[in-house]
Amino acid sequence: MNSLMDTTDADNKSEFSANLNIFRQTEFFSGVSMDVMKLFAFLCKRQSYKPGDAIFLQDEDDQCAYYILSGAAKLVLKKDEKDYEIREYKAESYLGVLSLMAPMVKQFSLVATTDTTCIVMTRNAFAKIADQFPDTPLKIIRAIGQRIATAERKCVKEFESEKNEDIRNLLGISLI
Amino acid sequence: MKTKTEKKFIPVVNRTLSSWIMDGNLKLQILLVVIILITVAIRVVPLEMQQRIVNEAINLRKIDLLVLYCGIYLLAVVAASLLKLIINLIQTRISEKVTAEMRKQLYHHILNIPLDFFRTTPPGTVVNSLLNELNIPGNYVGMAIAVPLINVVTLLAFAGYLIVLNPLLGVVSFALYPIMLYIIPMLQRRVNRDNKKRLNASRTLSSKIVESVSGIHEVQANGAFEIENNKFDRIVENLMGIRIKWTLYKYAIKIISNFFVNLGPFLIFIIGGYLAINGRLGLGALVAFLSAQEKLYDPWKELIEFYQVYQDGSINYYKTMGYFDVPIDTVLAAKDRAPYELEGSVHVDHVTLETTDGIRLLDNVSLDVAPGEQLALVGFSGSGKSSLALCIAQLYRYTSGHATLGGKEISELTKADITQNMGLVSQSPFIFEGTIRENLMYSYTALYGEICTLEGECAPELDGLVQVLQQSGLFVDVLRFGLNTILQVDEEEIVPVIIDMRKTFQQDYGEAIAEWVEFFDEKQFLSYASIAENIIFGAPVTDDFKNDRLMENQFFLNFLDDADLTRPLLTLGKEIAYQTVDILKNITLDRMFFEQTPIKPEEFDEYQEIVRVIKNKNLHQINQKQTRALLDLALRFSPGKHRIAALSEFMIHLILEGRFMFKERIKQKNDGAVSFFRNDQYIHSQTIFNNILFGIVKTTNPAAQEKINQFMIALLIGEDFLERMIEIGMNFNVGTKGNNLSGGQRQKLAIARTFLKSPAVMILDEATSALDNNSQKRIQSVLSRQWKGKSTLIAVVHRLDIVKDYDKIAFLKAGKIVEMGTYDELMAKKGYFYELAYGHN
Repeated sequence: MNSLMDTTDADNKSEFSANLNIFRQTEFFSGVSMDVMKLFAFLCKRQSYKPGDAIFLQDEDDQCAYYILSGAAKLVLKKDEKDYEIREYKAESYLGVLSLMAPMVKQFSLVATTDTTCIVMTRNAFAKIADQFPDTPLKIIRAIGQRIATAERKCVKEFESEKNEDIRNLLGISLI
Repeated sequence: MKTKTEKKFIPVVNRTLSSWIMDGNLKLQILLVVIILITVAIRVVPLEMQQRIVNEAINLRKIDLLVLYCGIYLLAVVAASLLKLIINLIQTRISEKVTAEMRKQLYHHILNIPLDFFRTTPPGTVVNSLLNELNIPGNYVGMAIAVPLINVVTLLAFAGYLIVLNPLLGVVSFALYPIMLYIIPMLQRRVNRDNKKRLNASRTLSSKIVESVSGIHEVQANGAFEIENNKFDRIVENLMGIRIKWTLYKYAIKIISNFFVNLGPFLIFIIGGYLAINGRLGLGALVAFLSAQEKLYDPWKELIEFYQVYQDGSINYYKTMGYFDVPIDTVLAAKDRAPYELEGSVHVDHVTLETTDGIRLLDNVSLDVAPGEQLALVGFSGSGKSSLALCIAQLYRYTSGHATLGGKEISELTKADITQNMGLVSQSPFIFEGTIRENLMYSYTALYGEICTLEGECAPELDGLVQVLQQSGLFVDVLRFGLNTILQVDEEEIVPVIIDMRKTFQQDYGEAIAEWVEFFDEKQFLSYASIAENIIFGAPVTDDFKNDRLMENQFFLNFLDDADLTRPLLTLGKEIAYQTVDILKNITLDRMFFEQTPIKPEEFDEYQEIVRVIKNKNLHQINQKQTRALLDLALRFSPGKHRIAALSEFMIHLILEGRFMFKERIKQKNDGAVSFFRNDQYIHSQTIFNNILFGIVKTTNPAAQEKINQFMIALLIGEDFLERMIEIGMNFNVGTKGNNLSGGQRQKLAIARTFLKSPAVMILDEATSALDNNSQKRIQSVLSRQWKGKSTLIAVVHRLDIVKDYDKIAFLKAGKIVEMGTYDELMAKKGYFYELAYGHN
């Protein structure tokens, strides 16, 4: 879509076109049509966080998926009153896509480590899109499935090459 | 074991179509018959007058007779027309009354059909049945007496008159009708048959089209054009053949009908002519015969049409009623007693719930809950915990065993008994269009009647409403709705209070929130306000500066031109219209899709048309109406809210420049038309929240937003304005299906409405699943602290960390209770419950 006002000024793009550009390059949306992607870009909202702000909280179903647009955030697991930092997510990461499709309690907390902005999609908005284009969830589930399979292959490789017994119990997640 | 208290009551779905004809319409139908008989009598008069005009007046050259007969003729025609109008009115009245009655009765029936039915019935089917399918049967009922009676009697009257006039010719005139009576239904059957074939073939064709469009990749990739073309061509040709036959039969009926009708005069001419020449028939009689032939055609046509309506009507009626012919297993209310007031004990004894396919959802389940006790049902999904709760709530019918509520068998209780003693909150509760208050009162009103909605003596007090809002946790949400209200003129009395609160708020919290809020500062652009609001930067005093009137305000339009704003705004409007139409062009419009664009759902078609027309035009080529529409759009655009377009720095600068110029102009030429934003004045276009802030929240940081809310609540408490705000908030409209509420808010509202009713037994079926942790824990603590001992609670629970306080926990697996006891007992047992609580790692 040619943007009448924005062609000369890249910083002055509407949030909608910026979102659309990001989604076009995302594996989760690789199967969906442009019309669907536009709706996604249209219905998303942005949220900003200061360092230390929780983006989502462990044990809560916040019904959202997140794309980190800028900044960084750490994934934290709270167990027996202790915080374990699992890893840090940088810009361009997706989190919580499954939450769009089904009630799902987040198993970890995500805490901003710098000034962070996320694009947020809600389950409710996703449901509206699925109402219009019923094959959307299926296409996204396919992408998720592939991602799980890829992750599993990586684990299997690690298990074979390093005989890392610690991960034995984790194997088989792609068979759910 | 059902009580046989009702007298012979035939459910609407088992009524015959003909039973509607007299039901409740007896007087109208009798009146109709009387009017019809008069009409028919009057219809014969013109025939007689024709004869007399020719035989007496013309033959004897008597002007006075001519005038007299012509007068009578005219009178008869006018009277017949008037009576026909009255007949039609009565007929319509009967039709509509019966259709409405069928709809009402069927709707009442449908609401009582057991839940199972709706799992396989799409809402569309119900809608269609109630809206469309009953129209033709209704029409039939309206016609059922009038049409056959008037037409048959007319035919007979004509026949009688003609036979009296001349027996031979009379018989000849009607000789053809028996033949038609035989041929036309025969043809009609063929039409019906081919019509069915045509429908089937059309369906095949459309699924073929759907198939090739969805598989177009494969077709093009394989170059399989010929294969697909051949398939398609064959179906089209088949359809063509069927359509030709169908159309031919339809025409055949018309042609044969016409042919016979036209054959009539031929017979009259040849036989009547012969008789007249021989002097055995007067010329007047011949004219009467000829004109009767013509007049016979109308009743005949109407009879044939009636025959078709009857056929279609019967098919529709019995199909529709048959579809909903599901036995209803509960009685609404007992006629001979008031609903029981039962104590809240629940006793379940060897209850089994088996589906028609023989799947046991519950298998021999037994348990006891004493009044005021709290029982949690846990287990994996599909274990039967919800089914058990719904059986106790009488929404499912257990197939064997016993379940009692306060000692009475649940399956034998009426709906009124259940409503009186039980409250159910389901996992995805349904919220109806209306205000929070109306929804909060839903269960209460259903129980105590509609008189108790607002002012009646039995209405709950505001304190009671506030209390259940607090218990359910909806209080803060309602407060928020109240704060987000744009005041109506009739609530003016709180304006000074709010301005006072604004001052306090600025003193107490002004600094703390400064970085998160865009204050109404003359030098600052408000990204969360519309461009019009940014330019005017005040509240309109005269109507012509109201947002929806700006496009008719020449002063304002001239100003836009002079401030060099018209062109850039038009460009912006065009961009917004283009983008919105592009994104939303192929979808069913839903309110949610319009949150990020200034176009309203009801305007979408209009803007779609504008976009189509101006697509390849430049701004100077579009007409005034389109210009205004685009300008209007741009003026309603608020960059913080509508993410569909962006404003450049240059544009923002231009708008701010414009703001000052506008103020100057108003002062010069139209002083007093706008009251500019001032710290000591209420801004009517803004919400109460923004009025207190004297600004608009700009941060998208949830933590910061939460902080501002907390400050606001602290302020309201300090100013003793909390309850008033709740009252305002309760007028918030929840939207269709409660769409303006989040999933969590809907659940909280459903819990609050059950609390308000305060039933002996509460059943919560995963009623807090959409709530965040804190809210769940809060409600749980309310349940165990404030409701224990007061209402019996049976809760299906999916999270185990909140079941500690329950008196009993039943663990279900594959429809059976495999463990039951207190939390500590079950944990000590290290069985299923322990496993589920700690996972298998």
